[in-house]
Amino acid sequence: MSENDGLTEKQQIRLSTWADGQGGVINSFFARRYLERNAAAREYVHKIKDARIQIRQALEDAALENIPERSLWDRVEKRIGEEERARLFLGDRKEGTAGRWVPREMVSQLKWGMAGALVAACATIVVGNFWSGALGLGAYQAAGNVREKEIARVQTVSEGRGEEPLFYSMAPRSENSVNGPGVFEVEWMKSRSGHVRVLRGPGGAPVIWVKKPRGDTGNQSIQLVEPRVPEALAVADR
Amino acid sequence: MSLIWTKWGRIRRLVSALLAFIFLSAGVALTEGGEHLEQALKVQIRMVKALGGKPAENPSGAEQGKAESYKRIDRRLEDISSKLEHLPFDTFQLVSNEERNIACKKKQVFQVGGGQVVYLRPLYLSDNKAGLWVRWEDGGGTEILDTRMHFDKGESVIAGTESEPGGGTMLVVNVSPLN
Repeated sequence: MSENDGLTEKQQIRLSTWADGQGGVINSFFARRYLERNAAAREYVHKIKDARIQIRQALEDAALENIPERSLWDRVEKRIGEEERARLFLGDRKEGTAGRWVPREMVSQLKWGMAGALVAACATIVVGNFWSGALGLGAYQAAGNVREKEIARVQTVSEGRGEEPLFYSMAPRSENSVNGPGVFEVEWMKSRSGHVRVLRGPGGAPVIWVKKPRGDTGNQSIQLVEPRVPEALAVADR
Repeated sequence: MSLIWTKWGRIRRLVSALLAFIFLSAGVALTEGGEHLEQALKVQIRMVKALGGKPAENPSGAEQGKAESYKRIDRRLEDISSKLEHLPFDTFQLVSNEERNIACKKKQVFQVGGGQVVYLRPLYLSDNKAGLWVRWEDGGGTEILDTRMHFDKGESVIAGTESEPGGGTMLVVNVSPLN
């Protein structure tokens, strides 16, 4: 603004402030007084309003120029189509594992696996202890069966060499079996000095006797007596 | 991508199965062997010399065992006299006696006399049964007997062999709980 407009700088400031809706009562009083008495003041305010309208229009035009071609919904629709195509080939999308030390699904799976394993282990311990208490060691439950059948199984090794085992199976005990011996089970029994014989007596564990071949102990070899043992059946595979 | 997920699923199942196997194995080990670990036992090994192929006609003296069987049995072998009387020897004499308190499943070596060596490992001692591994060697290192057996608790296992004409050497092993 210049002096040619018939307004001083102070009047222009008061009019600009009033046009902006600012200023106090005094400023508004003087501004209205200028507008009533001075045509230049009215012209000045009118120019300010026109300029304000032009600026607003320019800003709106600039804002409209920055809007992309496709709207947000177009972008969403495009993304939905991509996801559907990806699901056809890759399956349903799941939560990623990036940044996670152990994947959540694996943790969940392992939790169930560990819980199941713990339950199974506890059940094994409980059942095993029950069997151990009732029948002795579970591993030797077969021995209990042997006792019921009154059959003793021994494994021996042939004379001298001791490489090829002979399997002797004593026949079931008859009349002595009611109050007869308890459990005696042999996993293996071998000797490199002679034959191994098992002599079962009236009670308890039998006597194991290694009978050396003739010549090792002189001509008088001990003749063993097997009391109340009917016979020993050789079932060796040789 | 789908292959990766498939492999990952297999890995998860494999890990779960592995964990289950480990827990089950631990449970079985605790069940079968846990109660016997660190179990202290008393092991007694006696060496007995047997003599005579015929019954003594006039049994007498302090070493007389059962008179009706005409056998002379060392008094220190009285607990196994019922077994000895069925053996074809007249006299049974204790040569050596050794007792040790050992831990279960620990191998022990016993020098039982005459250069003979006994390697022994008690396997377990339950309420009614006992397990034992025994290896008996003569003075020359020849294996007389090597066995692993299970028998009633409190029983004495007797093993013998002919050591001289008309005579024999016997090994008596007893496993009992440590009082």
